[in-house]
Amino acid sequence: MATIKSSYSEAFNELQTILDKIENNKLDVDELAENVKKAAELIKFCKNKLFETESEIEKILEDLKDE
Amino acid sequence: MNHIENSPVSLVELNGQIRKAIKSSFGAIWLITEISEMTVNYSGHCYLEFIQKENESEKIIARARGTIWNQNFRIIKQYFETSAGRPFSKGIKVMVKVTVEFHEVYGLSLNVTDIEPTYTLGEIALRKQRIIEKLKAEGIIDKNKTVELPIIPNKIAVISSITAAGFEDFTDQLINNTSGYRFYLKLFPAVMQGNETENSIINQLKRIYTYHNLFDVVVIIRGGGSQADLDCFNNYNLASAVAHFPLPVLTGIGHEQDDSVVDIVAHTRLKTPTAVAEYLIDRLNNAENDLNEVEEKIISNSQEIISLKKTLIKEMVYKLNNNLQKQISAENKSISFITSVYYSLLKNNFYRIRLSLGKAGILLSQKTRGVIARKRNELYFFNKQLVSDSKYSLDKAGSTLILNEQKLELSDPANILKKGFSLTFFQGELVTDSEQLSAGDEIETIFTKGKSKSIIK
Repeated sequence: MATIKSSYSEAFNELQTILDKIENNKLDVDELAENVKKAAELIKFCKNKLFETESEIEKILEDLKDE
Repeated sequence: MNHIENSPVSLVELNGQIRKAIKSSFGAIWLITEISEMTVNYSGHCYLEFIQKENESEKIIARARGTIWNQNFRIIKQYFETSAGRPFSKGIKVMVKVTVEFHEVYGLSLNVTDIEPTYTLGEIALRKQRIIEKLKAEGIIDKNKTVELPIIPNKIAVISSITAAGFEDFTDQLINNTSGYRFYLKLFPAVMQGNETENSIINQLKRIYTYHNLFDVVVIIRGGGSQADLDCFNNYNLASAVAHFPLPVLTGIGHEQDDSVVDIVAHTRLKTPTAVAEYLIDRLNNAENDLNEVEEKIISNSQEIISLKKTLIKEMVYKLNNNLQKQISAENKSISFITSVYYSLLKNNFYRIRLSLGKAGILLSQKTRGVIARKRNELYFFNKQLVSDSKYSLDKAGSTLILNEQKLELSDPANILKKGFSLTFFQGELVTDSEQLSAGDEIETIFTKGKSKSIIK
């Protein structure tokens, strides 16, 4: 059975790792640009999880057999 | 058949005697028993079955019928439910005041006239306590609390009665939350009160277990107020199933005053379905706030870093520029110094060269002049010598000539002159070379006939 559990926490953890790196000034400018780009993607992913409807999940839950 | 000592009696006579005997033997008695059955008829009379079970085996070791007449029943029921916070129903243990009645037709019956609710409460508490002790002893009482609740628990398996108002409110509250969070709900319908509750909920937990990868959280909710029966949730099997469940279980089974055992083992115990919905929305709200905070921090920190780097670069450029300019001006200085040094050296050299050239010139001209003068002198002396030598030679030659002339004159001297030849004398000497003469010199020319004097031009 397919797992549709949210990988929100993974995304959020990755965001915090990025923030940590940025806050501790561990990145050169190129790395910073890369990490900020990645962070933007992760934030978008997380916001989608919070607000957007995933029709795949809806369908799977609808199709669960009633007993 | 043996002889009959007493005359036989009719059944009604016998039952009448039993009634009399019982009535005289028993007054009002406080009885501790369990209600196993209860029905209320159309006129409001309550008919009960009392039992006693053996402690360990739960085997029924005593049974009796009971009645509560309608006017008593209304009072007793209300009193009990208000005091105990639970319905007056079958399955509870009670301490009731009874009179033992015997009716010729209906037989033995215990007529309830009063009730002591605190006994029931104590019994329930005791039973609950025993279940809790057992769960503790098994080490599972906090097991579900250690299951991690996801940051955004929005895929929810709901165990509820489909008809319960609590479920409707819960769904409405989540789906129409004002923040616009997305929730996915799946109802797993179950009986939420009475004796069927245990099995019904356990069966639905088993179903959810099959799909547990699809869900973030299980929610057990039930509407209803303080009167709702919590007994079914003070159940070892159900509590154990909840404790062992791999997903966090949230409860909202609508009891303000007391926690059931299921509440105690649940991941998070909330009082009502509404409270569960609020909790879930709050959870997503926190997640959103955290997300926004991280986003803001990432943006502000990155901007800070970039502006810092910009400043650094500016500083570097400034320093570089400064250094370059310093260097350039230093180079310029040294170049102009070197130039001036070279220039002055050159000038010096030129001067020296010119000087030495001048000197050389002077020297040269002096020397030249010396040489020329010397040469001229030499020439002069040479000339003079030459002249004097010539003169001598000429003199000699002249005298020779004269001699010869005389000889010739003798022989043919006039002839020579006659032929147009002339003799030129300067200062009495014969001129044989024009070089001997200078302008203004007076010469004498002797022809064949006569002689003349002339001035050299």
